[in-house]
Amino acid sequence: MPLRSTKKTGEGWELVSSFPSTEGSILPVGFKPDNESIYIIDNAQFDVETLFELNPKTGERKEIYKHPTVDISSLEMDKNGNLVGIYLEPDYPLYVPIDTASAFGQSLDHIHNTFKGYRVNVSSVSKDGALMTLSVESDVSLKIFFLYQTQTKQFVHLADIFPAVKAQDMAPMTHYTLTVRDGTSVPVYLTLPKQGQKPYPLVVLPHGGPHGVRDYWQFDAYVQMLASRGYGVLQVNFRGSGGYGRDFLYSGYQRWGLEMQDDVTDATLWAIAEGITERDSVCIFGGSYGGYASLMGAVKEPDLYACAIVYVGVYDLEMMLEEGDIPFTQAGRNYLDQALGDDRVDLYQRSPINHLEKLTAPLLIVHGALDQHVPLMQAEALRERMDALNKPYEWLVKPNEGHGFYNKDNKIELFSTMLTFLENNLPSQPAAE
Amino acid sequence: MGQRKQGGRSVNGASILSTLPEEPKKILIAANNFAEREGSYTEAILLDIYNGRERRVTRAPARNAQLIADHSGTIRYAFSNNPENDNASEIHQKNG
Repeated sequence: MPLRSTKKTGEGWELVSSFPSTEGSILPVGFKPDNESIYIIDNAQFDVETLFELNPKTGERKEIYKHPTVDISSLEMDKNGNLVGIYLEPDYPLYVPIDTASAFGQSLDHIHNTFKGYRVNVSSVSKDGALMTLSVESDVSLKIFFLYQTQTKQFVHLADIFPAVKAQDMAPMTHYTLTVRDGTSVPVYLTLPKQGQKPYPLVVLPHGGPHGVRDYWQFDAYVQMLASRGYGVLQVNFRGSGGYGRDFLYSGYQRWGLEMQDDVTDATLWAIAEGITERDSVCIFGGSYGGYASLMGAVKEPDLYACAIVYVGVYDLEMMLEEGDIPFTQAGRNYLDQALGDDRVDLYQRSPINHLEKLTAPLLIVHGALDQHVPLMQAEALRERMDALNKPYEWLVKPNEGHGFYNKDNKIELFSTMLTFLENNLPSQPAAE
Repeated sequence: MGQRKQGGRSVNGASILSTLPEEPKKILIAANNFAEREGSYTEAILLDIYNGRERRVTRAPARNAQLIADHSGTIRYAFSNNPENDNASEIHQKNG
């Protein structure tokens, strides 16, 4: 029982709230200036995370803010613990001002109005409140840092995190909310290349995680790499993704290869129906869970994807229960139980490695040999089955990489291998001169 | 600090809980030992940022817990997804 650990420490700890991992949670985020009442973010009472003020002595709760569709990302507080504003990510970054009267609140207002269309983060405030450091970023720009002088309202440029990336050369992202086959709303981000015209060759890019992770409107090196070579990129916040409330998150559990996959399929079909791309002009690429979703997409929808790139992915769910660092810990085993379940027949069916006879798309397999999270044996098992079926594939494994490529030379090799593979299977439109 | 090597550092991760405005030389940090297989019981440590001296303040009642300090730098809450309770979301309150 949960109280056991309390007794063990003997340091005055008392369990005051406990929610099973399927029933939401309450997160204390900070004390009010009175040092007694606390701000809590709660997603047990309502579907989306809601901000409350709670007096732990009386148990009295006051609802402060709830967005209709998305969770709370973070809070802006002053140094005394006054709530100044709330950050959210419904489609694009959103700042909801709460206090516009205090000097700090007015400064925040001015900063957000100055940098409309950016995601703003105040990283530091001087003790007297006269100076702040902040960063701004967008879909086409990595963080740019400024010093803000509150008295004169002057912004002094400090540094660009990646000055070689020029915003005007990057491709913007647009948000859409789709209605998929069972009526569920699924948010997606679409990036269109600056060159060429509709219908574009398209790369569908399902994110990793998958549970509780989501894509945002933000600069992504993989997305921009593909867009710079003429590919549209479609990112799908399929069910199971985080940030859209408890029901959406939990509706992904044990639905790998099922509704989670169909959301990606339906988003791809939407892009075709809208004329953004066309049939036979779509490939799928993703890492980790995204690698699973890419291979599962290719075997479940062989007519939809012209090629697939699977990167540090999971292909055999039964293997996932036994190998890698997730089943190594109790927390990880609890997670696997929730995310995958333990019905072996079901896991066999939902493992793309067991359906390779349906695969028609050319396949590029990428893995890091030192990957502890999704071990190389996932990729090796996939290769073995491909060989047994006499199916061709391309293979890129680096000995000094783990769960994702980080070494510069390896990354250049990864990107150029991917682009050659794509060019061979999904020709891009020539760049306009 | 059971697993910490004498006079050295093992695999610890730390984050700042409070800069303790009333104590210019000290900050309050939360530390975890990554070498512990199931995750360590998070410790709150008072750190003198001028000489590196550490004093253990308290230890969380759950592994990988997130500690929350009030404005005076007193640890008041611990939040965790407790692996010993099927990853349940737990809040512990510190009374004294």
